[in-house]
Amino acid sequence: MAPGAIVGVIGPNGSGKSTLLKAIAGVLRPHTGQVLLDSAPIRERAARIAFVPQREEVNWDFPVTARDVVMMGRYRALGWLRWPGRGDRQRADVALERLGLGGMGHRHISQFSGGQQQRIFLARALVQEPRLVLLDEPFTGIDVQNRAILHDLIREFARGGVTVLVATHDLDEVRETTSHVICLNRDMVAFGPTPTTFTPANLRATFGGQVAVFEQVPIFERAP
Amino acid sequence: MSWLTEPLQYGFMQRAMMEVVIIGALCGLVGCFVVLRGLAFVGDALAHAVFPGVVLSYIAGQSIMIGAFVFGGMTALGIGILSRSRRVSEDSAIGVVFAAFFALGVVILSRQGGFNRDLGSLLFGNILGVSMDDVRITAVIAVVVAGMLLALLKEFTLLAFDPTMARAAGYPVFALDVLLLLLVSATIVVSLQTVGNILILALIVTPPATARLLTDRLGRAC
Repeated sequence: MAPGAIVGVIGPNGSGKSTLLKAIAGVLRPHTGQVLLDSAPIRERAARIAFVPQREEVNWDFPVTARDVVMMGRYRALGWLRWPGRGDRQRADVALERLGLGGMGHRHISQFSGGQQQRIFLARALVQEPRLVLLDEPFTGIDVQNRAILHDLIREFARGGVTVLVATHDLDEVRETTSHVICLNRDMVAFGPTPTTFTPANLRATFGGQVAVFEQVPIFERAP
Repeated sequence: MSWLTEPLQYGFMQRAMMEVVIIGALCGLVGCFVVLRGLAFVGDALAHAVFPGVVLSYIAGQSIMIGAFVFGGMTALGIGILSRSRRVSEDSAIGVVFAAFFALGVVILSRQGGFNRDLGSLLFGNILGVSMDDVRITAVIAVVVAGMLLALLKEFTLLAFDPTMARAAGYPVFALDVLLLLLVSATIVVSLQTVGNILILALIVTPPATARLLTDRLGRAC
């Protein structure tokens, strides 16, 4: 995957999308093979990997404010035994501002809407100055406005040479946003640039029996 | 007011007071992470699992802290290792470890005669029997535990809030988990002699649970 690529990871439930993301993040260890980032093992680059979890995986009752969460993105860069200073707080506030949450940093994380909560985690990814961003189902349950903010940010990351991986069920998003696509169904069915890989044949192979649903969707008629 | 201040002119009351203040503060601090990580059961388990250590050091005529530390450390490590397996959940792992250790303590105890009178003081503590040496040891351990906890506050907070990110960011998650358990065991062991293994859990869990009702920020809860 090249720097600046936006890679969609698609496949039915249980096909291994989250597993792939977690293996890349170093949360799960691969049985065979290894993950390289900038031609070094991923463990040595861990500080530059941002992981945005699914919303259900977060404990929203945890006693932290939005700014506290964003600041967690700075922890690794700070290193051991050092405290976030004014510069880090400022960075966090700038990131929150950038995501339309300016002035709300002092609020507890449970006091935000679903879309805003996700933006807090995107702000955290932003302050991490990552080389690789992993988004697990970011489009689930968010409205048009939040979707637009998410698109902007993903494109901004990509323009800055950051590789973005998006695991999603939303095939429209894959067609619109991504430059590359990985089709998974326990095995890798296909991988390549979206225009040549995101084809009815590959989708059929990926989603098996569910393909009837996709043939009804007019998106393929717009193929170049 | 003399009824309130009068007891404090006795040395044993002063020592008890110092000991309780140190332990109270330490338990509250450590308790924040016990509550946030959902480790209340672990705390209870540790308090029971150090039992064989206490019995052994009593038989050997040593300070009960020594044996308690050894077994506290072993329990912390045992829980950490067992819960790494995906088939055994953490609370099951705890259940297995602490029942086994407590049973071991009972077996050792039953082989010895004339220990029963002191069993009560293990369960409920003996706060008025605290010596100046005990206070000193407690103070040193409190400073060490609190120091480590505050030094790693960032890491422990991240690990409690978002373990996936902690792992992805390359933190030594297992080592930090075991360290936290060791700090909790150290707290429990120094408190054991004073408040007994039944009351410890209340000292650890009640202050942070109350603080959580009053604040939304971890920095203020501790």
